[in-house]
Parts: sequence; structure tokens; C-alpha cells
Amino acid sequence: MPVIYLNIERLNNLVGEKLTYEKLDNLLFSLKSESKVLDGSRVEVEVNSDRPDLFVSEGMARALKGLLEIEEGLFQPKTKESEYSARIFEVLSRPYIAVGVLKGIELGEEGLKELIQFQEKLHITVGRKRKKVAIGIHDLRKIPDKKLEYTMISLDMEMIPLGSKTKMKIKDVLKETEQGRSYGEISVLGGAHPAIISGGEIISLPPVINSEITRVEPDSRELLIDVTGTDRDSVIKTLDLICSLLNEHKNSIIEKVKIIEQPTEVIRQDPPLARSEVSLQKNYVKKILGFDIRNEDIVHHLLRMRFGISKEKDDSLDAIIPEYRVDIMHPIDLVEEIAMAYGYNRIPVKILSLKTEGSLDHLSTISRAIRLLLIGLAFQEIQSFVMMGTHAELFRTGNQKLLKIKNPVSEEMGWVRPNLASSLLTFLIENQHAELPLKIFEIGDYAYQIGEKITQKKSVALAIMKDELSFEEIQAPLYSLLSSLGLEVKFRRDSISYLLEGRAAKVIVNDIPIGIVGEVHPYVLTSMGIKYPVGIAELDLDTLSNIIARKQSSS
Amino acid sequence: MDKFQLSDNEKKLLSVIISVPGDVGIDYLSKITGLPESTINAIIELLKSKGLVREEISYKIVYTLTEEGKKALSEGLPEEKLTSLLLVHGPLSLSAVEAKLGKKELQIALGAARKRGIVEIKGDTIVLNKEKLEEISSDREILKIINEGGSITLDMEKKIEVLIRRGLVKKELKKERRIRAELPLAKLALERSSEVLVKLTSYILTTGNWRNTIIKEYNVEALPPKINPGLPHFYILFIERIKDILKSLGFTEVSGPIVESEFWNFDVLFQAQDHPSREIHDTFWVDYYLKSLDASEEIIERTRTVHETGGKSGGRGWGGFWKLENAMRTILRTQMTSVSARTLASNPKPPFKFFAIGKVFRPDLIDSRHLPEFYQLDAIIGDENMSFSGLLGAITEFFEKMGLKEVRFKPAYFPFTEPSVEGYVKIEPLGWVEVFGAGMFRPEVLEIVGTNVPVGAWGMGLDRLAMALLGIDDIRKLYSKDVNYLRRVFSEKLFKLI
Repeated sequence: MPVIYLNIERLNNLVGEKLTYEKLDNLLFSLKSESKVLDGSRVEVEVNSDRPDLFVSEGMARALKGLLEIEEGLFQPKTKESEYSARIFEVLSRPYIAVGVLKGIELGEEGLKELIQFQEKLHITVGRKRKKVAIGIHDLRKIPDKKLEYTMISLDMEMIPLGSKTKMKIKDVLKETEQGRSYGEISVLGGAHPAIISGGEIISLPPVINSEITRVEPDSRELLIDVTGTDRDSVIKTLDLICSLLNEHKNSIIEKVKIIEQPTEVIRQDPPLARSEVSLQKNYVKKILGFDIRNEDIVHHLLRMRFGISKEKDDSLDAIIPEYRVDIMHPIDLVEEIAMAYGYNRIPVKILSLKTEGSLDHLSTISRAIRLLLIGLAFQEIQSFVMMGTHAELFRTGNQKLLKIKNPVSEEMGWVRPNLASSLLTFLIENQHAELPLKIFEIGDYAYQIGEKITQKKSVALAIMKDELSFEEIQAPLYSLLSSLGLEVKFRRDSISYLLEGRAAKVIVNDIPIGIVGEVHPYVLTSMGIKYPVGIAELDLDTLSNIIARKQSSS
Repeated sequence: MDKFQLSDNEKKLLSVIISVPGDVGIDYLSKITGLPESTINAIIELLKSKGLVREEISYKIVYTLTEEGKKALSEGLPEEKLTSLLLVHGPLSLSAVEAKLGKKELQIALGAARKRGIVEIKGDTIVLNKEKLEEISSDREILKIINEGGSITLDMEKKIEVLIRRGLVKKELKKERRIRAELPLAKLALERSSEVLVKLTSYILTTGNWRNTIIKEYNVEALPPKINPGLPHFYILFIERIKDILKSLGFTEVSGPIVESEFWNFDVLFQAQDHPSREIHDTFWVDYYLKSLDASEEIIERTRTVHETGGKSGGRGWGGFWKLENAMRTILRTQMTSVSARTLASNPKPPFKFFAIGKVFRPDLIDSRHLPEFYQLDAIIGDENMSFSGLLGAITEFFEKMGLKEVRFKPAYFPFTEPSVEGYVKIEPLGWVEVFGAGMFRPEVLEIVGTNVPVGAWGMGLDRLAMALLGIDDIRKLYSKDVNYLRRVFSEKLFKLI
């Protein structure tokens, strides 16, 4: 979840009320956010990623004003037509752009800091690290010309990247600036890169960096905002979001920029500030929430959450979703808004009496039986990770293929274990100082590939490590375990790569092979650095539980 | 100490001592029993302390040969050399013999021989007295006997005195330990000790022999050797208890695969294909490509439509194009909700309650609070009358059974539930601990899986809950590779576990 830092005084000014920290904390809680006061002047807020409008004080203030009933219902943006226009050419790698202008902004040091933070959080979340959406903010008064162009440019063209004093070739900007190295690969295509040009100057190189010439300062009062990306809807919605929220400044006005698409000459005005309507059945709200919330409360809480109501009937209403609420996709989202405004801890807690009978999975049941028996045989239960290191290779048998993790956190966790025996031996490596004999077991999941298929199983494995070992010392407890489960066991000589030839057997019940038993091959032991002989047995729990289920149903 | 309690070695030695009439030396005992003299000495001390044997010190005259004596025995006595010359050559002049034997030896030989009358000197000539030759043989015999340690008769002693004076024999006094049994006590002890028992046996019990035996006493205050019990894993016991609680609340346990497709893990749950949690930092990808999805055509098509346009869900969907190939990527499941999704897709008849507990995987770096794999619970409830308030009730009921009476709810965001809630429970001494996420499945999810009743769901990581409730400070300890720690922590937490 994104963490943002807000200046409390600035937030209070925007809200128009001096909030105590406690009150603020409570209100933020209802907005899915958690807060922490830092140094008396700043507050740290953890915001949910589906509410980008809360990434900045302006949006936070708008939501708080609703909850505090200072200002309810839909926010009405103030707009007019701008003198600025942008021609959009074909930019294959990053086809969409939206441009808007804001005037009458008051940032100051703190406001500018928050605006940059807002931009960065949007980049990470809705922007998918600038791939899907990237934002450029410029001081409007420094834009060389009122006519802008969005087009692909050669990497040999020059610009002054933000933070630099001199002109650089685009290819050097991509290579030598920090932003170039981080984001330079996203939109470069066939030796060309998207750029926004004004008066012959490159003012932005989306999604990498802006130009130094349009740098925003704390006293910048007029802004030009560009949003570019690969998803048309997200690009336009993001511009709507930013413009709408900054319009929270008292004397601000949004100016709609004329966008002319090339070569079609199709014209539109940005930001569109498009609102949608969602029809909501009142009974649906009551049914999902599970208590009889009053109709007027439904309406009131929607207004407190800054939605508009365009039409209300006895059983339904049409809610207007403001342009900055990108998270509302379905009437159900409004139900949650009502619940949040109502207060989660005020919602009655209902115990439904449903006629269902509980039961455990058959694998849980057989695991319990086996656990009980192995504990009786003095085996200690252990718990290992499903992911394991290169030792997994020692336990691969026949035409099995290990499942490799493409992005492991460490080499020790690079593979999915191909059996439980591998985990027991890994455990034994660490316990050679313990008193011997050491008897352990584990019940767990493993998987491997065979041919084109993945086999996934649960098994139980038991091991004994001691100074001097005979085959019977592992065979006997296994035999005892299976006999106690009421099964007749046969052992058939077998070859298993990680077990000693002539000391390895298949375990057979009702003519079905259910597992293996044997002495671990000295090669495996020495490869793993184990200094004592180890006997091991492993049983397939799915097969075992099927056999037992059949046995129980027949008796 | 009971004098009739004899060890095996004590018995063995005592029986040898008794078998010898009179006393016996240590060397002899060593030879017969095969025990080293040092062991014999130690056992004798024990027997003496029990009053079963007596030790006597005796002094004995011992004759040994001097170096001269040994030489005389091997090379012959000086007088023998003289007599041998006379026997071969007849009477010889002094000077002739001196030439053969040397002056010194001639004097010794002549002295010894003349004393016994074996030779005479007539003028300048030495004459042999053949009748007396036997005297030499008897001296030789005595040297031989001394050398071989034979017994010395009184008759010999006078002759030995001569040999001593001649420097051929040495006379010494030697101290000797002699052991003698204390009869009849020793015999009694020997008899009785064969009836002292170290271990009771079935034979002794059933024959009634135990009545006539003495049962050896142990030092019962000494500590025994250590043995280790077979123990369940403490964390597994905790998980099993949760399963029992859920079962008692009417939930049916279900399970699913750990190696999963993105389809069941994300797409069915209406997680957008470009959702951040589907990226490299939040999901483990397996190097394997599915050939086909284990899902029906219908559900795949519904997934596509709902993602792209909302379909019949009543929502607008994510827009864009939904890609089947992305859904077919193989991952390690990141949430147990994947099992719930599979369960719902199997069309269970409402009302239903299901739960699944298993490992989930996320690429977190390992520290005291994070592991890349951990246990998670997911529980779902479906019914015509299921509601958010009913879900909060079910969760409250569950925690009450866990002994946690105080639960707090907070609005939250999950891609597949709406309304969503995060919950805290009060666990002393930690205070409010965030433990679960829950919500009503989104209509989009229900449309995809084909469920037509509201379904509430809650999920929680069990590792942190176990840590909070059991008082474990490091998540890695739940998967400890130290068998002694597992035993110790089980003992420490025993009464919290059962």
C-alpha cells in the first residue's frame, strides 16, 4: 500500500477546519487509511492503492469535508476553454496523451513537495511504474508556445533534461540520466522516442523526464499537465483525476486544452472530466450489508462520500460518480462506500444459522492418524519449506524434471522439492550434533514435472539417522505404521536413485505401490555433508487415503 | 554394603582362592583367572573389606645366580676346565696348565679343586683324584636348580654357602602377599551371591525364585540416560486446532494445488492482468508452460468477458483485452483464495461453508517477520441470506472460539471482495494485532465462477497469528531446523497447545 506524507497545516487549510490528530486518524480509518503523526507538522498515511485520489492533500481534504459534512455531494469543477492546443501524431510505442491546464494554483514549498509525491505514487500504482501511464507537470508560463505537438522524435535531437544546465542528445539523456536508465527502455522504438514539443523545444520526453525549461517552482501559479500512456482510458482518467483534485484550490480554474488528432483532425477538449452514473437498488444495499439501513441514510452517506444523486425513486437511485473516483466499477462499490460512511464498527454483527455440517478433508484425517502413530513410534515431527536449494537434484528419479522457480528469492529456494525425503535430509544436515538415533517425520506437499505434466502430491516421509544402521531399523517402524492402519504390506526390491541398491524396496499394499523404503545412498549423504547413515521411507498420502477409504466402505 | 553381593569378578576370584588349599599368591591368581594383577589387587581389596579373604605377607629366601654364576653354568666352572685338561693329558706341570688357563683362572680352579680333594700337587705336577669328580657335578646341579627356580633342600644349603662365597650365587629375602579365604564365610558368600539379582526376569518371577534371592539395590538418585519422545510439531498442532474449530462451526475442508495457474489464482478472482500483485515482486513463476487450462470453456469465456466489459456482472470490467496466455502462466499460489475459487467453480449447493488451509508463496526476503512461504487460511460462506453483517458475525464467532473476544473492523481493499474489511484482534500483551482480510466476493467473481448467491470470504496468514498467540518472536522459528528447539518449544508451549 502506498505511504504518503502530508503537511497537517496545509491539509487543515484545505479542509477549512483545524482537526485534532485523533479526529483525523479516525476519519482516515473510515477511508481505508492508517495514519501516524511524524513530527507534529507532518502525518504519515498509508493509503489503499485503489484510492489514488487520496494520494494528495487536495483529494484527502475533499473526502474529509464530506465525512465532516462541511461540504457534501458532488464537487463541481470550474472550467473554461484554454488558448492552448495540442496536435497528436502517431506515436506507436505510447499512443495516448491527454493535456490539461490549471490556473490559480497556490503551491508553496509544501504544496510542490506533495504534488511531486502525488505524481510519483500515481506512477507506481495506476501508472504501473510509468509503463501504462506517466505524468508530466510544467509551469505553463514557461511553455514556449501555445501550440504543442506530441510525436516521435529522433534520438539525435537535443533537450535540456530536468536538473541539467546544458542541452543533451536524447540518446544521452536515456543513457546518462538516472531517469533515463530507469525508464528509457519503456517507450523507445526503432531509434525514436515520444516527445512533447512546443515552439521547437522538447518540453517533455514521456515517460522518462521533463525539460528543465518548464520546471515547476513553489511559486508557479499556472500548470500544464500532460499524461501519456498505453491505455487510452487510464490516460484520460488520470488527467481528470489530477485536474479535478487541484481544482480544490480556492481560486483555481481548469482550462480545457484543444486536442487535435492527426491525421484524422478529430478534436476533443482535455480534461473531459467525464462522470458516469450508476444505478443502485436500495434493497441490494440492504441485502449485501445485511441490515435494514434507512433509505435516507443511504442517500446521505453517498453524499458524504461526495457522490451525486441524479434521480431517486422509492426502490432505487442513480448515483453520479465524480471524475476522480476511478475505483467505482460496479454498484457493489457504492455499497462499500455507504458502509464506510456508516462506520464499519457500527454495523450489527449477525450470526447466521446455516445448516451445514463440518468435515475435514480426507488427507487431513489420514495425516492425523499417521501423525499419531509416528509420534507413538518416537518420531519427531518437523516442518520444512516447499521451496528448496540445489540438493533437490539429488532426489530426482527416473524421467522426473524438477520444477524451477524463475524468480527465486535465493538459491536455497530455487526449486520445488520433488519429494519429502529431500526435506528430511536437509533437516538432518543441521542436526548431526543432536543425540542419535534421531527419528523425524514430515507431512507436506511436493511437485515435479513428468513428461508434459505436473504431478503434485502430499506425502509423509520418515527418517532415522544413527551411528550404525540396518535396513530393518527404518523398515520396522514403517511396517508398524502400516499394520496399525490395518494394511497388509509387502516389500519388493526396487532401484531408487538416492537409495542404496539392494537396500531399497517398494512398499506395496493391495498390489498398489504406495511408497518406498531404504537406506540413503552414501553418495547422497556425502554430497549433503551428512556423516551418519540414514534410513528413509516415504508414502504417498493420496494413494494411501484412497486405499483406506475403499477398505472402510467395504467393511 | 552387603557382603553377599558379589560382582562377577569377585565371584570368580573368590572361587579360585577357595579352591586352593592354604594360601595363594597374586601371580598365581592372575595366571588362573586371566585378569591383570592390578585388577586382582583391586578385587582383593573389595573382598578384604567384606571380610571374605585375608591377606598374609610372608618372607622367603630366594637364591639367584650372579653374572659369574650364569657364566659358570654356561661355560663350565673353572675347576671343570682344569679337570678336563688333566683327564685328557694326564698329570701336568703347573706351568703347563698356567699356559692353558692363565694365572688367575688357574689359581681359582686350583683353590676350589684342592679344597674338595679333587686334585693334589705333587712337587711341580697336578694330579687328578678321579673318585672326587662327582663333587663338581653336584655344584653344577645346584647352579642349574637355582637358575630354574627349583626347590632347595637343606642338604644343598651348605654347598650353596660355598657358591655364595665364591660369588656365583646371591641370597635375598623376598616379601610375598599371600591370600587365604576366610572359611566358612567365603564359601557362604559365594553360594549366596549366585542368588543376588541385578534384573528381575520372568523366569525368576514365575519359578518363585525371587523369594530366595537378594535383589540388587541401585543408586536410584543418579540421573538416567536421556531419551527423546516423539512429538508433534507445535505449529501443526496450532493449525489442527483451527481446523477443528472450523469443523465445529460447520465448515467443510477443501484443498487445491500449490503449483497453480494465474487463471485460478488471479483471473477468476477478477484481479486485473496488469495488477501490481501479478508482478515479479509479488508472485513466484514456475519454469513450466501449461498446454491447457483445467477449466471449462464456459468459465474461461466468462472470465474474458467480465474482465473486458463486465459481462453479466453488472459492472464495467477492467477494459482492454484479456489475454489467455497470461492466465496460463504457472505460478506458486499466492493466496488460498485460489482454492476457494476452484471450490465455487465446482458449483456447490447453497448453503455452504468451506475452508482451505495450506502454504502460499510470495517473494519476500527472509527476516524475523517475513518468509517467502507461509500458511494461510481461506474460508467462504455462501447462502441466499449471506451478507456483510453475517460475515462479520461468522468471523467474530470464529475468533471467540479461538479465545479472542475483541475484534475490530476496518475498511480495506482487496481486488476480489467488496465491501472489504481488515480485522484486528486484541492479543495481550501485544494489543491490537491485524490478523485477517475479508469481504463479500465481488459480483464479477461470482459471475465468473457461476455462483448465484452472495458469498462472504475471509482469509488470514496463520504464521503471524500463531506467533502472536504462542508468543514466538521470530517467524523463522516456526520452521526451525533445530530438533532440540522443536522439543524445547513444544514443552514451553505445551499448555497453550492442548
